[in-house]
Amino acid sequence: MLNKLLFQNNLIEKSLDAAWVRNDIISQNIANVDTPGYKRKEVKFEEYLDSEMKLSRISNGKTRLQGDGDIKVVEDHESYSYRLDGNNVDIEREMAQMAMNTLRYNTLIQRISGELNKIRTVIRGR
Amino acid sequence: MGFFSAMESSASALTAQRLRMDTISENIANASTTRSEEGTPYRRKTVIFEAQNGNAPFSSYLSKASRELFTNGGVRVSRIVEDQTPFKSVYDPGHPDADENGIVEMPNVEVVTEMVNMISAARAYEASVTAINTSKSMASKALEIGK
Amino acid sequence: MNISGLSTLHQNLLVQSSPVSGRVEEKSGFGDMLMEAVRNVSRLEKESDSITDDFIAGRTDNIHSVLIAAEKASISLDMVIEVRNKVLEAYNEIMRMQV
Repeated sequence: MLNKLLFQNNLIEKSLDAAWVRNDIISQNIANVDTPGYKRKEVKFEEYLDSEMKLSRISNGKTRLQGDGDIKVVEDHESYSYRLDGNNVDIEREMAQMAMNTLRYNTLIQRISGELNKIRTVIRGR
Repeated sequence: MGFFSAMESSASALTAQRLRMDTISENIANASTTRSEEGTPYRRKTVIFEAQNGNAPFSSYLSKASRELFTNGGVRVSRIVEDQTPFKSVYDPGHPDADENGIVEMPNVEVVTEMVNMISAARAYEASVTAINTSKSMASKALEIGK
Repeated sequence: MNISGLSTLHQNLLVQSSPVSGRVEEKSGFGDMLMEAVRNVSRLEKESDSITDDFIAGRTDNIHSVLIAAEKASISLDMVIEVRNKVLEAYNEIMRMQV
């Protein structure tokens, strides 16, 4: 019974995973801002999740997402590069992405913290 | 997934940019050195950056087993090369190293270019420092779950 | 539902039961109140889940909406728990009374 309760938040946990990986990838992009020929990478999770949710009505607490295959790292070959060395990392964009990602991560941490505390409150009865 | 690999990537960037900065400083310091160890004027040095693990095949990103691959990216300096552009020829008959025509060969260092590169290196360094701070703050926030 | 203390609840209870006399009406008035509170919790939880889903899927980036909805649900749950506790206390106290 407790297992079922504790795994209700699987969707939030997955989303946290994705945000953490995204932070990693953004750090890599920033580290390689001067590497010739480097193409920036990005993490695709929310778009896939959105279409999944519309198709099969996954929602927080309803279905467990299986495996790690939902978080995809792709190389972005489409961003226009202003540079002669073939590097398409735009450092301002990466910094903005990092800020947005941190906010998303912090929000989800708040949410999952709240959910777990709620379960604890119900168990304790006060 | 690697827990601190984000910080390791950023740390590798700090090292690489600092090495680049050292090279630039050396170039600027030797902008007027007409006599180096080889007997020629000083040749400008540049660093070549290379992405670590940057050549992993795309399909490996999708398989769970090789998850660790994409989380170990970073950058490193693969080589320090000497710039092969020709030396600058300056007419200066009074110079001790002038040849019979009064022409001295000066190093192929453009100080303005070096200054621009220095700013770029500093900016990349700062960006990586911000990235490390961000990773650290995210991890600290995670430690507050349940409080 | 007004979250401003149990005294308000008590007042509502009296107001509801005054048009009709009899202890049966009083009991159902309170029962209705509790049921409504529980339904509130359910509704707020669903809303919170829905907004969280939207945030996770990237359909919205209103951080404050997400957190406010979560807090509302949590508060209403706390309310129900407190009411239940008070009811139990009241029940126990009544049972202790020597008749």
